[in-house]
Amino acid sequence: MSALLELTGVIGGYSPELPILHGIDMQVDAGEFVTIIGPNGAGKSTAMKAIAGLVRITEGRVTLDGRDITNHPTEEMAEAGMAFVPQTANIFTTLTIDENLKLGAHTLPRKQAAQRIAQAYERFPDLVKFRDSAARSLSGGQRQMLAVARALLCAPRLVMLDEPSAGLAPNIVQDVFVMLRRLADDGVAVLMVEQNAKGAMAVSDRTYVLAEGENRISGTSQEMLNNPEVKAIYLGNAGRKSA
Amino acid sequence: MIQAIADGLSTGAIIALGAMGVTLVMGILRFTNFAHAEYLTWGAYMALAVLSVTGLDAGQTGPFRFGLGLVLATVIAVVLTVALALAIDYLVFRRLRGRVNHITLVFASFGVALIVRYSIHLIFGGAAHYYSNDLQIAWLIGDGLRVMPDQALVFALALLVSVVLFLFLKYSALGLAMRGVAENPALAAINGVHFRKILFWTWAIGGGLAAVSGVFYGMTVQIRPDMGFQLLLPIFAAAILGGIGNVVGALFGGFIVALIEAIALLWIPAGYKIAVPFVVLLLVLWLCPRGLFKGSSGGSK
Amino acid sequence: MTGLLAYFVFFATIATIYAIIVMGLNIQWGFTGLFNAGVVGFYAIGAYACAILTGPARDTLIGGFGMPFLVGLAGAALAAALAGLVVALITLRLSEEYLAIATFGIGLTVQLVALNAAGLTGGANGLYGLPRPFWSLFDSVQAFNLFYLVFVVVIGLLVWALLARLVRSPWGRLLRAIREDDVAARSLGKNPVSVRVQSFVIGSAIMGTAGALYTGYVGFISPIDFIPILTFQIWAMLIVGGSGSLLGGVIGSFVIWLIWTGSGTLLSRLAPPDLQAQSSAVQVVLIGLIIVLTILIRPRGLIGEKSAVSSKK
Ligand SMILES: Nc1ncnc2c1ncn2[C@@H]1O[C@H](COP(=O)(O)OP(=O)(O)O)[C@@H](O)[C@H]1O
Ligand SMILES: [Mg+2]
Repeated sequence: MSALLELTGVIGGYSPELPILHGIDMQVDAGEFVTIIGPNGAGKSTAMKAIAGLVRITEGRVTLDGRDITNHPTEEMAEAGMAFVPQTANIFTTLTIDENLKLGAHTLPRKQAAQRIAQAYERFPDLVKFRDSAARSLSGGQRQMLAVARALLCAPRLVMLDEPSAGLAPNIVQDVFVMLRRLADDGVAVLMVEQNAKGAMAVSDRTYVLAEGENRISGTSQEMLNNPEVKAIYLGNAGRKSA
Repeated sequence: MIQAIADGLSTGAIIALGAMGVTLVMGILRFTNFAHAEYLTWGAYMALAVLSVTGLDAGQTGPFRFGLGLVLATVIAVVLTVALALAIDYLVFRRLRGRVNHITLVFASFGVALIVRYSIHLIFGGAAHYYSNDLQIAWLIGDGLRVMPDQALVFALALLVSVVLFLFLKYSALGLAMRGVAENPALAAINGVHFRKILFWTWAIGGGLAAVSGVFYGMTVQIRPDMGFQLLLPIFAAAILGGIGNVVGALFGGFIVALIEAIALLWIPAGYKIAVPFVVLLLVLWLCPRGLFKGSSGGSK
Repeated sequence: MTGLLAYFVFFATIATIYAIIVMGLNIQWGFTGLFNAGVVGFYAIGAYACAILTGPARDTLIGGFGMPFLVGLAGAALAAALAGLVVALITLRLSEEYLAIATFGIGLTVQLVALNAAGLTGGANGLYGLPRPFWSLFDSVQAFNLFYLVFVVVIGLLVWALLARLVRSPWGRLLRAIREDDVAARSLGKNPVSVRVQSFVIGSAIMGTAGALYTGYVGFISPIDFIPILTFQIWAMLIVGGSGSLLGGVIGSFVIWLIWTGSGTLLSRLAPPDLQAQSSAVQVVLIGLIIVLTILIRPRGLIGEKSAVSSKK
């Protein structure tokens, strides 16, 4: 039971009659960088939302550090040490950059919040000049930066990101991956859903393949990169699967 | 004309206070509460009840019929109105939220409105009441413009309240969290915002504003069981005109609706008074459904 | 005919007219999920349209065309449909609560017009001396009343048959599809907004028809017949019966109308004279409680099998 995050036989979905996840098993160790890939509609986003408490789990369990967090209120996720960057609508477009960060840090003591926000601006200097403009004016890459910066404010032990590279220019994608790799090296566990399978596997430690709400193949990213089945389906024309 | 504008400003202040509450609830809790206007009525009657139970006089401050007695009564009325709003949420809306189609919540709010309005009717009777029977001498401004001191006071206090509300939403941590929930409740939860806390404060602010608005209406017009009902359309028109979720917009919306109403009544028969905000509402929905001051969020849907 | 039977005929006629309004509301809410907060407005438009078309000419009035009742009936349906069309076109492309607000406004505005446009509606005095269809064929009021009950029931059955057919037709299936899933319907190449507008207009026309039937029955209408509470009575009838169920709606109409008149009689006997005015407030609170409690406890209604709340979001 050394895993930081562990999913055992998770079944759930948007309505009880129609489960999307049909028994997902997954593990993420402390400081590990794990990628989830799979075709569109596989249930990758749904799985992340289930961990975050945004989608109801009807059977199975989710544990964090051995503690049961199945259907844990989303509001308490940050205090539990988890952060989540959803696939869409992951920043408040009507709030300013500063307000987005303040809201992200609002559970922290005032002084610490200010400190962390300052650190966030150091890590993402591009955001500084937009401090007081509405987040809707940011470009796609800047939005993603803001979303990640916000997620890191509470110094989580686990960060979940849903397709952080979607819509970004190729060179920025690489920056994002490298940044996440560093984060993992610093001891923060990273769980990332990606369509850019090749790039994601190149930087991550392990990879899961989901399809139709079930686990398909999993292993170290190295093994997976060389797995003939994975190669055929996801790497043959990398990126084409994304929609 | 100038007289109409002056009268419109004091009515506008009352509508604006109601509309700011409605727009907050619509923006954050995402449903149109048709019972909201009844909270105004309830607030007005609670202040009246406090005066009659304690035997206090509305009192007098300078030229205004807003003395210690009525101030105290207003404070208690605010508390009792917030209590009503929370109780109704607890008993009705909370049980439906997330469980049924959200228009069913709107439907339930209609039933709630009936219960509240006619319970008031039952308890206090249908006759009009006043906080003070003292007559007030109008201020004469320039030649021919007559302004009741109470009207001026209501206007000034409403502006004050809205400035405070604006600053609260803009600069306080709680206000920030409320704006966050208004835009994206799921993301707010991910940020660690507790919905229940926001729910509480939304009703507290909405109910409090309604009570103040009701007392102001009672001061400058009269207290009747159907006062809220009569204000419902102007309040909705103001909220929609201002853009759902936009408090400053609702403030201006309130004044615009009241001014249009006051000026229109120079030409059309008084019997059609309520139809004016309705026509304004239809025009806004037709021409710029997101309001003149664009809503801060996707609105109530 | 004994007094009791005469009362029953009266009671049943009014309840049937309400049942027809409920059918109109059923297509809007039960089958399409559209919230109409101004039912009374569409009903009143129908009643006045019929009165103006069929009424005798009078110097003080603009209307009074003395047309046959069937023309009045058709005109009533048309006028209400037109009002429905305007509101629907303005609000149905927007968030669904705007329809609720706009219809609420229609209900109020129609009452204002009825009260104030004296040249058209007779103002507070109303329109009187309106012809009752086939009145001359009967030699007693009782016989006419009995005939009229049958007449109203026949019209009610026709409306029922029409709705039942509509619901089973491809158009009805489209309605359900849209209610369940807007996006899917759109991807089939159907425009959900226009289908909603159609449904709303049909419902409004049915309400207008009911208004004409009322005019033809009493021969005298005034704004008091169209107070806002009627909207909520109709809603209570629909939801108690179970929206989406035609039979439920009819039963709900009779049950609620019985509760309303019964509680009214009871209160007027029991309440001391100086509290009479207040006692009618009890009746309205009762309607409010019926609505809220039904939504909370039995959202499927007491009779109908279909969900009153158009399914989970
Ligand atoms: N909000 C939702 N409500 C209902 N069904 C949804 C919702 N979001 C996604 N789904 C369904 O769940 C399934 C999995 O979707 P998702 O988890 O988003 O896939 P992925 O992220 O792997 O592309 C799909 O069939 C999709 O249609
Ligand atoms: Mg996804």
